[in-house]
This record gives sequence, structure tokens and C-alpha cells, in this order.
Amino acid sequence: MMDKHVDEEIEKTLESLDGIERLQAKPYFYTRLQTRLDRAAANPFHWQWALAGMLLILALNTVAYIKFWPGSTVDEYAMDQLVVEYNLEWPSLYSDVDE
Amino acid sequence: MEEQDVIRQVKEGSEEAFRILVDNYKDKVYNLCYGYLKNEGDAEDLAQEVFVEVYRSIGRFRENAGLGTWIYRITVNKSLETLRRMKRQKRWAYMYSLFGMEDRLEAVHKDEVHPGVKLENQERATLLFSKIDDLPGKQKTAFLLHKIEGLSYTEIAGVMQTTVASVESLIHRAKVNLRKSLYQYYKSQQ
Repeated sequence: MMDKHVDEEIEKTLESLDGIERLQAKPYFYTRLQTRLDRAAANPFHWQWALAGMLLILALNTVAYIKFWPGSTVDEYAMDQLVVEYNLEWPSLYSDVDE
Repeated sequence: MEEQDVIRQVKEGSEEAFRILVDNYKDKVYNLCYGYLKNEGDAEDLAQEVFVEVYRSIGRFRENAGLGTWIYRITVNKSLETLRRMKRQKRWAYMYSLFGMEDRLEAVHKDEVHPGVKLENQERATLLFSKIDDLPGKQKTAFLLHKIEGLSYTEIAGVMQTTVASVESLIHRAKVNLRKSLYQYYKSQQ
């Protein structure tokens, strides 16, 4: 009984779009479209610039990768000098215990 | 002016021919956009976007496809793209509400009652549209092209670049899914 009622409701709902009226675009649609096209023509998307930007980022990343990858040669003496000069030594976790 | 002449002249850059093309198809495009988005402002915006795309890519249009079919295809693709973007916006709206930035929520899309539905059916139609929203993209497209645009299965197959048998199957599955989802809804109301 319950299910019969539910089935009826479902059928009525599925039929609710039968005879739906077609909608029409609002008046002056073409005028607004023309404005949009003019605006798009005035500010075109320059994909060449976007591509150039992406290539620049890629090039910078490649340089950084080659320069700073752990396998690359680093002047260890210069690094030690820098650490001593600027007192950059990181205290050991056990420094208190060691002392 | 014959459609082939309109196409040729639009390709040659004639504004008058483009105006004729827009006049011939604007209601169909708007009606379908509204079927997907259920909001006047959003549907108008999307319909304009469709014609901007038509204007830009008419040079690539191959006339054996049929202009109407090609324009419907652009409309379907743009509509599905817009729905995906709106879903993302809804997720952001939740984030905005969490951080008390409700002023950003104004831009979020709101469903309206379809003005073409008879008054006595509006409540049911709104419920049905909300369930259509949950259908997978292809089922939704086949169902809307059939119910809202009144296209035949052959025409839908042309728009969706598939076979008539596939369209039949998509519409059948759409109806089965809608029945299931409505069944759950009405059961929960008892």
C-alpha cells in the first residue's frame, strides 16, 4: 500500500517535465554578446606570453636542480669557513649531556 | 539566407551573418543552458560564452556535422565545464563560511524554479531537477537533450558523438537512477 503510494509519487514527479515550455533568451541578447566580443578582442589572451613564462620557470628550476643537487660539487672548505665566521653551528641534541 | 551561406559568410568575417546565426540559435542554446544551470543570470552568461566560442572556432567547423549539432555540442561541453567549476566554488563556499568570509558567498549559484514548468508541477519539477543534477554527466546530457530540448535519439547521438543504441541505454539508465533516487526521497518523507 505504502509502496504503491510512493510509486505513484515517483511517476507523477517523472512526468512533471512533460509539456515544459521552451525558454527564450532575454531581449538584446546580441547587443550584450557584441559587447562581450568587443571586450574579448580588446584584451586577447596572449598564449605566447603564458608559454614564455612557463618556459622561464622551467629553465630556472633546471638551473637550480643542476646547481644545488646533493651530487653536485660543493667547496667544503668555503662552507666550513662560512659556518665558523657566522657561528652557524647547530647545537647537538646531546650537547648538554656531552658537556 | 541559407544556412550554408550563413556559415560561409561568418567564416569570412561577416558580422551580419553572425547576427543571423545568433538569432537562429540563441533560444535553443539559452534553453539548454538553463536546463543545466537553472538560473537566468548564469544561463545567459553561459549562452554568451557558447557564442563567443562559436565565433572563435567557426573556422574549424566541418559542415558535414550540421551547424545545430555542432552548436549543441559546444553548449553541452561548456555547461558540463561550468557545473564542474560551480561544484568547486561550492566547496570553497564551505571554506569561506568556516572562516567567516560570508561576503564571498554572494557569487555562488542559486537554483531557481524553471519558468517553463506548469504552476501545479513546479514543486515536483524542482525536486526532479535536483535529482537530475546528481546523475553522471552523460546520462544527464542525454536526458536533458531529450526532455528539455525535445531532440530525437538520433539527434542526441549526433550531439554526443555516439550511437543511437548508446543514447537509448543512457536515457534508460538515467530513468532507473532517477527512480531509485526519488524512491529514497519519498521513503524518507514517510
